[in-house]
Amino acid sequence: MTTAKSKRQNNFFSRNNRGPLGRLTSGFFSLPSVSPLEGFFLRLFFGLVVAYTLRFEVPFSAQPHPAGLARFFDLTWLSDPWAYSVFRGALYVLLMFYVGGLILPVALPLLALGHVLVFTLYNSQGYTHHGFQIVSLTLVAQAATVISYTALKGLRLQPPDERLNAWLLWQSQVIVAGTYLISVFSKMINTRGLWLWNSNYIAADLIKSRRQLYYGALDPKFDGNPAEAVWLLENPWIARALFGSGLILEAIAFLALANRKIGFLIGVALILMHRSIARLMGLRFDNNEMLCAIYLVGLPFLAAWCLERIANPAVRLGALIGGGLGVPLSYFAQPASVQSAMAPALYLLHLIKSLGVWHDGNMADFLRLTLPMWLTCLATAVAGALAGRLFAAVRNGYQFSNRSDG
Amino acid sequence: MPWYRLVLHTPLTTLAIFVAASLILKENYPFSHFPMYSSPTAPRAYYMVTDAEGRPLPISTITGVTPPKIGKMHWRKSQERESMARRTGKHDTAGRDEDVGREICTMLRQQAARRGQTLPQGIQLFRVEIQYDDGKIKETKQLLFAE
Repeated sequence: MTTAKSKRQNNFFSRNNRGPLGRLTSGFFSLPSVSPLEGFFLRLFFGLVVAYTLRFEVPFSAQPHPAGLARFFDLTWLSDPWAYSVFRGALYVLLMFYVGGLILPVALPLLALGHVLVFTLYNSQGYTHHGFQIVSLTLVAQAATVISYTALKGLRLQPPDERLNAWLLWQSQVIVAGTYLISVFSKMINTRGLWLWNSNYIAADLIKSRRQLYYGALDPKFDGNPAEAVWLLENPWIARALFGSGLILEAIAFLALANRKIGFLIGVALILMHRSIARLMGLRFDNNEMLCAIYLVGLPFLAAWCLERIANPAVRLGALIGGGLGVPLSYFAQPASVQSAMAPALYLLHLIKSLGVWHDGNMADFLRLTLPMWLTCLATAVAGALAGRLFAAVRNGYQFSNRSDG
Repeated sequence: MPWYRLVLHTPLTTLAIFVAASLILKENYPFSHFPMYSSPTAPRAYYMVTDAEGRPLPISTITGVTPPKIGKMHWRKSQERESMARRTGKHDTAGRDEDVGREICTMLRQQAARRGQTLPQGIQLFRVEIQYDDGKIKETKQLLFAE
């Protein structure tokens, strides 16, 4: 029997709650709605980021300062070019299963483990890079979600249902927002709560970063003291306000879990924060930015929303399949110079590497390689949509004639 | 809904577990406590590599190892030796810097060779401290190791 108290409680934790605070808190307790199409785009976009992170070779034949799993296992076999090319090939195959949503209880844990192994060796050289944890951890969180879901609901090898898609989105958002919250705790612990007061000294870090960039490549554009750093050193209270606002943004990033609108605002703000850090200090966190765009800003939601405007499901599916087929087919639309320079498989890897435009902003190079792909995808998507329409018309005609005969 | 069911039906639970685990496990990939810029202090230091005459070398271009990586490596190796010295009671800062510097320079030569590049003979490793004092930016250079 439902009591008045439990009714009030259920109302409070429902997304239909009308009060602003109620709507905020209820978002933490009711699953977001994720359509199968959005689930697909979430996996596709994140899969591309994972493939992009695997573009590096592994030039480390030793692990002098083992971290994580390298404390227990020798991972230096990954530095062997042949072994690594086979290993990376296997990860790409698993990624294809992941994007398709197939055999996730098998593909995701293996993918997560493979990604962790590669970057564990990277981080076992005596210097820690903080750019890849967010990707590995998202894979680990998704793998744990799929395993828990399998334990509760039984083995499912076909694409995830709406509930699993929603949990995968939520737990990925936990990792993205959580990495910023961890950073806030570290700042507070290491300075015994005085981080805001001392934050003006970060202005000296701007000069330090500039020197490091200069002495790395002796590039004259990084010579001298950046004017903004000197100005912040001269105005410590403005520096505190500026760096303090970044800290507050990191601290409230977890509110993105409550609903999509807050997630969008926080995602955009975090990307702008990273861009301003890159501008001031030359420090790039491309993977963080891309994951903010996917899981907080909601680019997959937008892509799915656009495609869902096509009312006929057969036309929509035809356009999607056609557009997808356009990617490998675009090899034949490339100029002869590209076709002679690389085999089709290598061409696909180059397309993934072209995501580097996020880092260098070189749109001319990006479009030179990808424009034939976009045009091919557009043409094949239209062809797919027409085929879908034809299929739907034939099927409807067949059903109509069957009904008439009956 | 009872509180224990709410705990199972919210991502805030995994968020709390994730944050706590990361702060405890620290730098154990894939976990990290993300300590970048967590202890802002007045003097900030960077590292540079020069040839025997003290002319700076474009170390990332030659070896692929950036000055921040050299700094992190120097800090970590020094910390390891410091904790060992604390256990044995033998403190030798100059000897420590010499050993750490030699290891780093050997590693830089190996990485340069992997890229088909060569570092000149007699490279030197410097630590430079930046401090803003009396309206001026001061830099103090300290030689850590010379081949």
